[in-house]
Amino acid sequence: MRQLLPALTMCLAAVSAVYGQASAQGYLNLGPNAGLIVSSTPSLTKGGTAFGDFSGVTTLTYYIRTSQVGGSGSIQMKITNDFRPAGGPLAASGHLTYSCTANTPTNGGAATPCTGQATASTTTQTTVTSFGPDARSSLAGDTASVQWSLKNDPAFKAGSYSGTVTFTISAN
Amino acid sequence: MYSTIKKASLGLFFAGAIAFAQVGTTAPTATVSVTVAAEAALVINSNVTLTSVGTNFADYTGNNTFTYFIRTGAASGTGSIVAKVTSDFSPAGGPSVASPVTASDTLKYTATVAAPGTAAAQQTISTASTTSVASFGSDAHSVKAGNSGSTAWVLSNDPLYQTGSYTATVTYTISAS
Repeated sequence: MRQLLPALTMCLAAVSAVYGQASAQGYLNLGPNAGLIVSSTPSLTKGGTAFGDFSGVTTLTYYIRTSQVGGSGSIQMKITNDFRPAGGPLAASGHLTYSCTANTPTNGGAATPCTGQATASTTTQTTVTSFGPDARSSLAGDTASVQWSLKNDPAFKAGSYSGTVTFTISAN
Repeated sequence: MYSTIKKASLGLFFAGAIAFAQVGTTAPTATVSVTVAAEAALVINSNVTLTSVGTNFADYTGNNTFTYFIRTGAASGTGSIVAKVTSDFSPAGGPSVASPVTASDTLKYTATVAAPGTAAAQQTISTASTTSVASFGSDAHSVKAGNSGSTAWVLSNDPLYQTGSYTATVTYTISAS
């Protein structure tokens, strides 16, 4: 028994040490982070009037956490492949414009969508939404959208055209 | 001891990164597509009042202009502008397209259209069927602001007409495929 007791005591001490290590898990460094999902891909459709512009909506689900002090973030986009085949609309010629909406991040901070009707670019990133400090989306993500408007010029050849837009989200 | 703590912290750090990696990327793409179809529209720029000028019982003449917008199919598309009298002259006692007081009385027009349209030869307009104003071939395109056209009207001036003012309606139809 005398020999056994010290042995049990040592075991208890060891268990205590293990639990002591568990408390160290509180030191978690959560940096700014962001992710983006394109929830729908639009096929633009024409309005009722003859030669009315084509329109459609791309819905985005964003996940973001910006720094509490001085943090910011943004969703930007760029036309990385212009409409093809040739003979139809061209983003490079200013035929594609857009407006934006963005829901406020569920867990705090602010999201500011672009204002007015902006022209999509094939050469530079254009802003869809910007975020302020301490912006935190929900775990399920929050939504933003881009409403497209494409010119319907009689000069366009009849046919089907498609282009690629790349969205970029960042947080700091 | 220290070794164990390091591993636990590292595990959580990765868990945080993976959480966002599972809910999107930082640069997703979307395909924006559109189908541009054959399409056409027409604007009649003005009504026309026919007048008789010169010799007695000279035919009434006048001209009205229109602006057309068109896109026809690239491969085998076609298009047309046609016209029809959808409301004959009224009131009664004057000219009539459907029931002229003299069989040879007519309302005719000569069309002029800017390219890519091809104007029809002079036509006698009807209340029963459409007559051609212009035709378009495949891959025809107006400019964004529209291309111009006109119809020059000639109405018989029959002494049998009662004096007065008479009005008719002509409906133009443009189509593209």
